[in-house]
Formats: sequence, C-alpha cells, structure tokens
Amino acid sequence: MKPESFPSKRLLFAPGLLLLLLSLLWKYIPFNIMPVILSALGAFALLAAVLWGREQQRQQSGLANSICETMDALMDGREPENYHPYEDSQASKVQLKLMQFHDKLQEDGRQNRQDKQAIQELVSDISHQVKTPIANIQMFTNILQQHQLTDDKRKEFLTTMASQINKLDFLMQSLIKMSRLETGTFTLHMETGSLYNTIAQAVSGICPKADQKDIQIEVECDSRLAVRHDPKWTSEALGNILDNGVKYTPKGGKIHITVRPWQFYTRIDIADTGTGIAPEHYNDIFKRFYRAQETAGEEGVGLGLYLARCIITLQKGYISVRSQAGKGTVFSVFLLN
Amino acid sequence: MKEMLKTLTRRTFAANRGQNFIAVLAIALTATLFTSVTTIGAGTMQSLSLTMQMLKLSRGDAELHNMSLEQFEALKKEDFVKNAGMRMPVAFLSNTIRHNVELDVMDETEAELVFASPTHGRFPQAANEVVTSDRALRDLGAEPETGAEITIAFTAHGKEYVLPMVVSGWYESVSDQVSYLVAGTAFRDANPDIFRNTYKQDKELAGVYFSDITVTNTLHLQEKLDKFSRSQGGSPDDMQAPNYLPGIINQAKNPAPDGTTLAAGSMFLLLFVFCGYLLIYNVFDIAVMQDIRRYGLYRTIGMSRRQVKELINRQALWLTCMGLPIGLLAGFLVGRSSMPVIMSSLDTEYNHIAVQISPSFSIFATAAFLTAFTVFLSTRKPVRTAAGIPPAQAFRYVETSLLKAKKKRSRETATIPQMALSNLGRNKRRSAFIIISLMLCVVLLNCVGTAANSVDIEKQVAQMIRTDFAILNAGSMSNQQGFTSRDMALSEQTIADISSQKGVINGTAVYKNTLEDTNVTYDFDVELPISSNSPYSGLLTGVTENGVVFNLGDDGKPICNVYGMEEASIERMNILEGEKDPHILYGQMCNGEGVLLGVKGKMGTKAMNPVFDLLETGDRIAVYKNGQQIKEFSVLAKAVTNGDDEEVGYTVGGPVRVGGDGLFLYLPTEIYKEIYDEPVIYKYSFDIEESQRKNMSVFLDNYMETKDMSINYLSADSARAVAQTSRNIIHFVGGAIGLIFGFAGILNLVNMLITSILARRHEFATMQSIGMTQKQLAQMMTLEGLWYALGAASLGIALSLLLDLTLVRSIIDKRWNFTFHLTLAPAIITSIILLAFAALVPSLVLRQFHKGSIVEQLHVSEF
Amino acid sequence: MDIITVHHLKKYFGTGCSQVKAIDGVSLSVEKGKFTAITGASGSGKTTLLHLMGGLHKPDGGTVVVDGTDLAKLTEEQLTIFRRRKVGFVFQDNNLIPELTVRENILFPLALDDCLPDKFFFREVAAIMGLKDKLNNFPHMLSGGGQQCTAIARALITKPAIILADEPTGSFDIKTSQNVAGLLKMTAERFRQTLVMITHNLELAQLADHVVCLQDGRIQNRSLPKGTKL
Repeated sequence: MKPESFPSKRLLFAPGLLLLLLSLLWKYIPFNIMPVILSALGAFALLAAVLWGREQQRQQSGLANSICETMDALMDGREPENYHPYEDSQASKVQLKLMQFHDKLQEDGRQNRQDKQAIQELVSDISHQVKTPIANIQMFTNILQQHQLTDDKRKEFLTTMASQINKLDFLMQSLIKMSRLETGTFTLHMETGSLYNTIAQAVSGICPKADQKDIQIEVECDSRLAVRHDPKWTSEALGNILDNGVKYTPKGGKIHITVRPWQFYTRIDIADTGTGIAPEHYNDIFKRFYRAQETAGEEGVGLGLYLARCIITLQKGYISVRSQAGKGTVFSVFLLN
Repeated sequence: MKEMLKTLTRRTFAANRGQNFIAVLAIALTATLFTSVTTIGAGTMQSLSLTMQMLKLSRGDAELHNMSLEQFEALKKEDFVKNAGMRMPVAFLSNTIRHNVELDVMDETEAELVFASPTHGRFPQAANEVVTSDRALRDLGAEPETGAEITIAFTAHGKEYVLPMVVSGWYESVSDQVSYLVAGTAFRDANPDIFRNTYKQDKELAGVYFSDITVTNTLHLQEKLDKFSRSQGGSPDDMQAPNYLPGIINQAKNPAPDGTTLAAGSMFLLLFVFCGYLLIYNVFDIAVMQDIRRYGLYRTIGMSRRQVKELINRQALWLTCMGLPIGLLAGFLVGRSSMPVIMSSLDTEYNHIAVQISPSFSIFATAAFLTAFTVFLSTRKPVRTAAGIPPAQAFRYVETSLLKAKKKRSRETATIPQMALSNLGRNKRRSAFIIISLMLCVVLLNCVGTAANSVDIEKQVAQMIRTDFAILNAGSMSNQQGFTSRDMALSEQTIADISSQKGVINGTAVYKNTLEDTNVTYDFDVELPISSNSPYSGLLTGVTENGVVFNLGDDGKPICNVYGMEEASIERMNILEGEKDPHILYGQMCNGEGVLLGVKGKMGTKAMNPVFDLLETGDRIAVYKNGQQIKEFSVLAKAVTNGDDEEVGYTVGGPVRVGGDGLFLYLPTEIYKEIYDEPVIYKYSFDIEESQRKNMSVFLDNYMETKDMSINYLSADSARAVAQTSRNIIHFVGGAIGLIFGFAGILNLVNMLITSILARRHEFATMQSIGMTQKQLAQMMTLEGLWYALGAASLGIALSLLLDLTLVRSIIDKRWNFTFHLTLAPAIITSIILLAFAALVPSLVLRQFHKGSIVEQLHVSEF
Repeated sequence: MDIITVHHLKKYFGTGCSQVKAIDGVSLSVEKGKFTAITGASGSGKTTLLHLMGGLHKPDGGTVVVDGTDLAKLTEEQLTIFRRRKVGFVFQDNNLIPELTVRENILFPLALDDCLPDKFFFREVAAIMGLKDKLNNFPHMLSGGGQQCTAIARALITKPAIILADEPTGSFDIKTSQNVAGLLKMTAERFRQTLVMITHNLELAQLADHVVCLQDGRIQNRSLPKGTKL
C-alpha cells in the first residue's frame, strides 16, 4: 500500500552535509571550483525539493486512494484486496480503523437479528409455559360446566382453578418483566438511594414465605449506605434471589444478607443454608427456565435467577455464586457504585 | 510520539540518577581524554610553529622576493592573497657590535607579519623615524625608549651612508641574532638614491620589493606562487637568473605533513578510542541489561525495535550532552596545565619556546567529535541487544540464560570464595572487559615505569658535557643557529672575568673555525662524488657515497670543523686509535707532526660510527690557505667525539653550518693560531670546586643578564636536569594514560558491582533469609571484587614482564640515552592499589545499595 | 464468529531431555465479543497460550489466526504493530511505567502509534476506572487496584479488538480481584471487545462465557457457552 518512497529527504542531506563540510574546510578549497560546487549544491537542493514535493503529493493521493479502495470493498461486502493492517504507515492505520467501523456496523446488525430471534424464542417460551395452566383451567371449566358436582367438589375445583390462574398471573408478570428486560423496552430509573430500604423491601416480600418455613432472615447493612441503583428493580432481583434461597433452604434454616461497600462495587452477599449447587451448574442456574433436577419437586418456573441476573447486569453490576453442597450457597451481587 | 518519548526519556533519566552519573562520568572522562590529548597536541604544534615562526621572523604563509613595484602591486591584486606586506630590504647595519640589524622599509602589515610592530611608541612616519627591537637599540648604544636618537651606518649600491635617526617606537626582540630596523615609506621617498632598482644588473637588493603574504587558502600554494612569478615574467627557481623571483612557503607556519607523526597520532587516537569504548560500552551494556524488563514491557505494549533504539539513543544523546561539556572543560584545563611540562622538554632544542594555547574551536570540535564517535560506537551493541530481545523473553529476563547453563562439577561444599568466583562467570564478556581495562592500566604503567627507569641520565650528561661548565655564545646553544661567525666569539674580558672566579679549575679555551674562514681548506683521500648546496649555510658541498656532507671552501676543498685546544681539553677526549697518551700526542701535535681526528660516535656509545670513520691513522691531510698548500699533517690518533667535542650538549648547529659532517680536526692552540687569520674562542670549559658549584651558576646567570648578554652556558647540573625532564615527560604522559585506564577500570568495576548487587537483590535476600549474614554477603562481594583485581593484576604483571622484555626492550635498545632496566615495581604497586580498591569498593557499594530488611528486599525484587 | 482460532498449537521450551512442552497441541476458538476464561494449575501453560495469542511467542507448531491473520506470517515489526493496534495486554503485575503519570501511561500505546487520543473515549475510560482525579499522579501513588485499573485503561485506550489478561487479579485480595475482574468484564462488554483472561480463581472464571481448562499443555474440558440449551 505504501507508495514506494524515494529517498528525497536523504537527497537533501547531501547538500546540507556538503555545505557543512564546505564551511569547515573553507580554507582548503580552491576558489575556482566554488561556482561548480555551489551550482551543484543548488541543483541538488532543487531536485530534492521537487522530488520531495512530488512524493508528498503522491503519498497523500496514495492515502486517499487506499481509503477509498477499502471503503468500496467494504460497501460491496468484499474483503479489501490490499488489506495490510499491521504496517507502520498512515494508510494501514486508517484502514484498520475503517475495518473496525465496518465490524461495528456488522456487529450492530447481528445484534438486531439476535434480538429479533430472542423475541421469537420468548414468544415460543411464553406459549409453551402458558399452555399448561390454560389447559388446566379449560379442563376444570369443562368439568364445572358439564358435570353436576357437589358444592364441596366444586369448591375444590374452583380453588384449584384459582391457583392455576394465580400461576398464570405470576407467569404473565414474569414474562412481561422478562420481555421488557430482554427487548430493552424498559428504562431503569437510576438514583442514588439507600440500599437498606431496597433490601428491606425485598425481604418484606419474602417474609411470609420464610415464616412458613421457619427460616430466619438476618440483614447486616449500614442504613446510611447510599448506592446508585434502581430501587424497584433491584429489590425485585434481590427478592428473586431470596425467593430462590427460601425455596431450597430446609425448614429452620437461615438466610444471611451482608452488604459491604467496595472501591468500585457494593457487594451484597446472600448466604443460605440450603442444599447447595454443584460447581458445574454455576453458569446454568442463571439460564432461562433452568431447573435443577433434584429440585423438580419445588414449584417455580426457573425465571427468578435469570431475571435477577438481567436486572443486575443492566445496572452494570454482576452476580457470582459460590456453593458447598449440603451446606449452602452464597450469591454475591455486585452493584457498581 | 516524539513528545512521549521525550517525556519518558526525561523522567527515566531523573529516576536513574546513579546509573546516569556513572555514564556521564564515563563520557566526561572520555571527553577529557580526547580534549586533553588534542589540546596538548594542538598546543605543542602551535607553540612549536610559533617558535619557528619567531626564529624565522615571519608569520606569513609565504614570502616573495625580488619584485619590482609593478610586480608587487600585481601581487596585491592576486586572488589567493589575503594580505601582502611590503618590505624593501636595504642592508645590514655596519655599526652594530654583535646583534645583526637589518634596515628595511616596511608598511604596517609587513611589520606585523615579521614580529616588528612597535609595542611601544608608534610606527615611523617622518623620513628620519625608525622602529627597532630593544636588543638592537642596546647594541647601537641607546636605551629602548621612544624618542631615542641613534646613528645608523650601512652600504647600499656601493655607497656608504651614515644617518641620524629618531626612534619612534620599539618592540621586544624575538630573536637573539637578528632584528629589523624598520623605516617608513617616507624614508624611501626621501632617499630615492638608495631605492634605485638595479637588481637585474647587479643583484643589489636595495630597491627591490619583498613581501610576506597571508593567503586565503594554502592548498597548492607553491603552484600558485610559481604561477604568479611566471606571470610577472619572473623565474621562480633559477637563483642565478636576473629575473629570479622566488615564492617561498613559510615552512614554520605551513609545515609539510609528516607521515610518521600522523601514524603515531592515529595509533594513540585508536588507543584512546579503545579506552573510551571499554568504559562507555560497559556502562551502557549494564544500563541496558538493568532495564531489559522495561524494554520488554515497551515491546509488549507495542513499541517497535526502531522506537526502542530511538529511546536508548536519545538517552545516550542526553548523557553525551551532559558529559561532553564537563569533559571538554576538564580536558582543556588538564591539557593547558600540563602544557608547560611538555614544553619544557622541548626547550632544550628551541631556546625561547613560546607556549601558546588557546581554546580554539577546532580542538573542541575534534574532541567532541571523537567522544561522540566513541559513544556511538560503544552504544551500538547494547542498543541492538535491547531492541532485539523478544518481548516475552525480556519480560522474564534473567541475565544468565538457562539454556546455556553447563553442567558443572558440583563440590561437596560451597564456600564463599567459590561462590564469588563462579559469579564472575555470569557475564564473560563483561568480566573480560573489566579485567582488560584494569590490566591495561597495570601494563601501561609498568611499561612506562620501565621506560622511565631505563632513562640513563649519566649517559646523557656524559654525552652533553665533559666539564662542569661550558661557556659559549648564546647562538651556539641553539640548533637553529650555532657558532658560525667570528662575531659570536667569547670576548677576552668575559673569559677573564669568569676564570678569575673562585674555585675555577682546569679552565680551557677552545678555538674554532667559522664561516669567515673559508679560505683555509683541507685535502685528504676521500671521494666526494656528489655535490649540492648546503641548506644551512648556502655553501657548496661535497657528499660521499654514504651521505657524509663536507662543506667546501673558496677553492672547492672541504673546510672541515677545526678546533684549537689546550692539552687539558685533549686529555678529556676519548682517544681510541693511534697515540693514546694525550701528553705525548699533544707534544707530537705541537711539533706539527699531525692532528687528532675526531670521529662521530654512534649516538651515546663510545664506539666510532663507521659511516663517519673515513681516514685511518697515518693518513695524510694537506692544509691549503688561499689556494696554497701550507702544511701537511698525518692522522696521529683517532678519538670518538661526543656533543661537547663538537659543540655542546645536543646542539650541532655550528659544525653543520661550517664544516658539515666532515672531519673534525683537533689541533693544539698554537698550530691553530698559525693557520687561521683571526683565531677566535668559541668555548670556555672549566671544572669547579664542589663548594662553588652553586655560586658559579648564580654568578653566570647574573653575568649573562648584566655584563655580556651574548653568552650562555651549559653546566653538568643543567644537563642532568634536561635529562631528568625527559624522564619526567615519560612519567607524566605514561602515568596520565595509565591513570586514565586505571580510573576507567575502577569505574567499570564499581558499576559492575552496583549492577550485580541491584540485579541480585533477590538472590541476596534469599541467601540472607536462609542465614547468610550481611557480613558474609559483604565478604562474598569483596571476594568477587578481589577476584577481578587479582585476575587483572596477575595477567597484568605477566603481560608487563612479557612486553617489557620484548617490545619495550626493543624500543629502548634503539635509543642511545636509555639503558634497559627491568622493573616490576609500578605493576606491583598498581596491582596493590587496584586490589585495595577492589576490596574496598564492594562493601561500600553494598552498604549504599543493599538497604532495608530482608522482607523488603524480597519484595522489591519481586516487583 | 470466532476472532481467535488456535489450531494444534505447540510450544516447547528447551531441548533434549530438559524439554518442557508448555503447549502441546491445543485447539480452541474464541468467539468474538465473548469472555473466555483460561484456568488451570500453575505450569499448565496458560501464560504461554496467552502470549502465543498475543504474538509474543512464535509457535513451534500449529497456527494462531487472529481476525483472519495468521500470526506466523507476520514479521517481527508487523507483530509489534499487531500488538499495538489489535491487542491490549493486562498483566498480573501491572507493569506500568513508573516514570510516567497515570494519564501518560494510559496514552502511551497511542503515542507509540503516533495517534492523537480520542478525548471522549479517554474521559469515559478514565471515569469508569475511577481514575478521573488521579490522572496526574504517578503509579506508585495509587493502590494496587488503582494501578491495575490504569493498566486496564492502557489496554483499552487503543480500542483493541482483543483484551488479553494474564491473571490481572493474581496479586490482589478477593475484594480487589472481584473489583478488577468485574471492571474488565464490564468494559469488554461495553466496548464489545473479546476478553481472554487467565485466572485460577473459579469464582472469577464464572464471570466468563466460556471456560477453558488447561492441564499440562492440553485442554482438559471446555464448558458449553452460555445460552446453549440443555
């Protein structure tokens, strides 16, 4: 790509050096050859100047041409022919930047397609999940309509139906949240507020369930601690993690929440005394509709941790997990200060 | 990029102060070396040149003779001429006693060029005004002061003139023998008779124009001069031609280049470049190795090789910029302060040496260039190493490559000395460099010591003088002049004054023939196939096949150097062949039976030089006077001569100008007086009682100042002092070089130890953590330093012995005034000093650079 | 889409019986824009693999193709520029230049390429890394975490496609480790960079999309990428 460079700069060195020598050896130079030397010097300098100018021009046009060429190729979706990203030249530098830009555009397109696909998947997931309760409700409705039942029996069916509707409602709520998170159609309201309140809200949501299982929840948090976060969604995420904890912690267990402010992140550890997670499933638990085999008996749809992770990631935080089988699990939520 | 590199260089620079200090010191030392050498070299050349110019009474680039006014005007217009002075010689004054005073009409340019510008008063303007030297004025019986009235007498165009003149200004004489008496152009205009140009008819100089010129460019000067001469219808070569118009280059100012001097100079230069290389290379090598991780990091981040090179070069440039001025200044001071010492050694040959040294641009430029060149040369390899190392490797760089580690026989125990020794092997090249530079110091100093020790002072004194004192005309003491005319004779009064002093014993006067005695010649059986002109006296000469020169007298026969001596003088001579009893010989000589023939010895030995040994005892020599044979002698005995027998000391100016190389004839005073018309005494030699030695010197110094300014003397003591200076010079020059090498070596050693301590901090900390005490550590480092010094010392002493017995001996044996004397004392003393340094430095360095607790050290090195 | 493809890669050190097979036939590909963690015991060849990917070593066998360029085909000089423009390195010991300020350290790689810095980007990176107020400090005035943040900022400033991090948190306590690793991950996602990080900390490795485990210069197992359905 680099236009072959003519050593015109070096050409300029020659008269310079000669002039220097001339001035140093002035005494020893016969005078009659001075005109010859001087005119030679002049000619040299002139030649060098002309060549230099021309080279400069050629370099510039060469640079412009190479940029245009690369852009043409990229527009056509071809690989640029003279792609030399790792040369120490201006053209190569610009070329690389262009390629970077091109890649970014490509990436954006890919992201768009991926989003679309995600929505499609979501729709299919929703339909899949909604299918069961609706089928149940349909079935019970049919039974109630077609069969004469005792009041007791009817009551029983209606209760079952109500629970199915509740489940459907819960599912719908989750799905709506999820869809909004996934498609990015919701906005986080980031504000610097008390993390204590947020945690309290999450804990209060889970208290009834915990009481049922006689699980003690302890919170260790400085009430003055202010972190930049979205209180509503963060409490939702924490609630989901707590919910998960309560679910897998046997009766009489304990959940301990610790908040520690760090340099960049505020760390919220949620430690339970539950069954624990095997290390190979660390990554899986945050996946949509993932449910551990051993916990098949528990109710749930496998969206809680997924949602929690989405929410925290959107706030530029992250969640990690550590666990010891049989002893408990620690979920660590890192919120960017 | 440039900005960032600059910032980085600047900050890194500030951070590595210790390292940089050593580097700057190394560069400054090298620059000092070069500057002092160039200063001394240039100063010597300048001073010698100026002295020669003074002797020649011209500082022009060239002079032209015998021009007419038109030709002179044409000369002024020539392109190559920068300045042309006008001089119209008239004649030597006839009313002077001892000093030769030449009357000239000059312009101010010329007066400036021939050292005749008035330093007091002003240039002559009126026709009766003149300027001359203090010496000339005294000789003319006037005091050197403006307004003094003098009378001058001279002959021009065959007519005698006696004119009263007024001194309008005077200057300090630069020559013992000759001064110009300068008159202005008004004098010429007032005396047209004197300045008639009749050169073409009678070769009368009064009336022609001479000119000393300076030129724009000395290249091809002789051709330009000849071309000018021819273009003006002159003949540049033919001395006899009526249109003889020579252009003569002033060799004193523009000496012809000398091959051997150049070769010796470049040899020295090479040695110094090598010394500088040893010094700077190591410093940079160590600096780069220390920073190799850093360069690795740069390379990892994406610095290219070129950029790394640029970075280090920039650093080198900075260091050079700091070290160079210091070195230049120091070198100049060193050079200038040592100049007088060096000059004094030349003083024996040139009577009034003018020490001239100025901080000229070219000295600094040369030294700076050489230093920069050395820095460039020495940084090539380290720069390449730094740039060439693969980034990942540099990143975890350990100086000894694991791949090359050889299996060593492991011993049962590891003692501290063993550990220290094995540490030397870590970087062979660097260790070798340090040992070499330390060793060079030992060897050089020992060679110098041996040479100085071999200076045989008594041999030199014996060569120079046979008695305690010898009094002569001042001109005889200079090789540039010598005893050539009766004017230079010692006066009876002076001899009487001196001989009447207390303690004088065996006072003898020696007579000698002069250039005025060309009417007495000798004929003997020697073929003189070649003839030419003597470059010294202008006489015709005959030359033997072997190049022995005989100056020829009026009748074309050799003049010879003939001495009239008393018996006591003959007794002192070294008679080798013929009648060896000086008393019998003197008796025979007085009877007119023959002469004592002197033959030049091989320098400093008591053997005759076969080249000059032309006659056998018994051969006959005929004496001619004014073309008539008046006597015939036979060679009764042959003696080998030394400096005192010929003239005095090392000077041979007189004999060379009068008789040439040929035949030194020694006659009794009586016979000498019979042969020569106006026999004159040229030398008065005497011994002195021991107690009066000092007094005599004082008396003579005083006498020279006040009573008889024309004389000078040589004493055995001063001869000894002269010989001593040559030893001093060797000590001084050699010692300085040795010292510089020694300093370089020690600097290298210190630097090496510092690096090794810094680089091995972790290792040390580990050793300490497993129980090595600080003391043991110091012991190990001291031993390591000692191993270096020991290696250098043993190698140095061995090599000194070898070189002394071969090279130094072969050089010394060729020089008559040396007697080879082997000594190892300098080597041993130097070795001891080096050992002391090597033992001392490590613990000091360790204390300075290995501070803090073990944990800290471990931590530091991890980073 | 894979940005780094390593195929049958081999790298040996030494010769003869003392030969060490640091990398012995490793094949893997790193997906563009993803976070790959390399784990393994010390001496398992993690660092060598990373150096090979960054063009710091020449392989003894196999190929490393980065963004379509086979590194073996580049000259030393081209490799230097490749590192400069395509790769950002973060090391265990931060390897900042002690003589330069934080700002100068961050901008150093750009200066090497004779580029003017993207001011907005610089400000953003400095803000994320919490270096806003420390730009004119010298590295030694910063905490270990702060120094590592500077190093990360230095790696980011050229907007490289790939960040190669060699135990960037190795010398820190768990708190700083989490901090630094989180930042790395976050910025990589933010600027859509591919992040390859060596760590022996499994807790940190779970931040990654992929985890590669090396043992004695070979890949032991490779966890499935996130999003794959079981």
